[in-house]
Amino acid sequence: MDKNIKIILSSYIDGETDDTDKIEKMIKEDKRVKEIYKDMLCSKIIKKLKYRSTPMPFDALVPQKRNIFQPIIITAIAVLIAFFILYPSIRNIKPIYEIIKNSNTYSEVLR
Amino acid sequence: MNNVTIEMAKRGDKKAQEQIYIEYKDKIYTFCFFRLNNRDDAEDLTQDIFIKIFKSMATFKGGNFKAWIYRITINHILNTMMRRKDFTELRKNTAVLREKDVIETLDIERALNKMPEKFSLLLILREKEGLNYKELSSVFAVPIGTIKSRLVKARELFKKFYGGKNG
Repeated sequence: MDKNIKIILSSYIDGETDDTDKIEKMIKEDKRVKEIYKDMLCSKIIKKLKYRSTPMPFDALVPQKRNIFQPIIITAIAVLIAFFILYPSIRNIKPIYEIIKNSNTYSEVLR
Repeated sequence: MNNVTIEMAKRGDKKAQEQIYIEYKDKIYTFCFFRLNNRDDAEDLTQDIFIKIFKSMATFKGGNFKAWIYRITINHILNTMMRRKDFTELRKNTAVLREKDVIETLDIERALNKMPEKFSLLLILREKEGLNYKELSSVFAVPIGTIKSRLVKARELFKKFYGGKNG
């Protein structure tokens, strides 16, 4: 019985019932119903609740697009730097085919 | 939120998505904050929820957009709470009390915090957001009859935790 009255009153508070006249009469005439109704109205204070604000920007949600040129440029710069550092030591190295051409082979030496 | 914005957001338009984000971010953040009572955790959860919303935009087939957004939000919060039981324990609120309305807001928050998630979120969506029973039924994926009885229970719990002090 109580549960049904509570559901009816709750629906009345939310404006989700058509029997408003009947319910209003019940609230006026029955002290116990009036008491339950008053208790239920307590939740109306939630309207005063203030939303908390967050400074979180929209960009925080979206993963930043990868710049595909960045790793290419970095690799190219690294190769250039490596080349300039190593150039003095590699410029005097003769190509391997010249060494083979100008030297005796192992079998010739043995002979 | 108009249909054009929603349609554009569905197609991945960043400006439209940003509009949706601005409209709902504080609301969703507040829901998360109620449960976690911690700014960083609430921001992380808000971020997860929005990523989920934008990823699922294509599945929105029209209807009540607000209810759809809140359904994702509520499901995500409830799932997170189930996974991380430690969050349900109240953390000490270190907010500084200044004005009467701030004190009142904190009292309301404390009362809502003490309630199980399904009741507190239901009450906020009803009282603060003004969702009707049909929309609430869609958000929580339960029949209207269940919404009615849960609202009664939610109101009783709120009266117990808030009204006990202020009523």
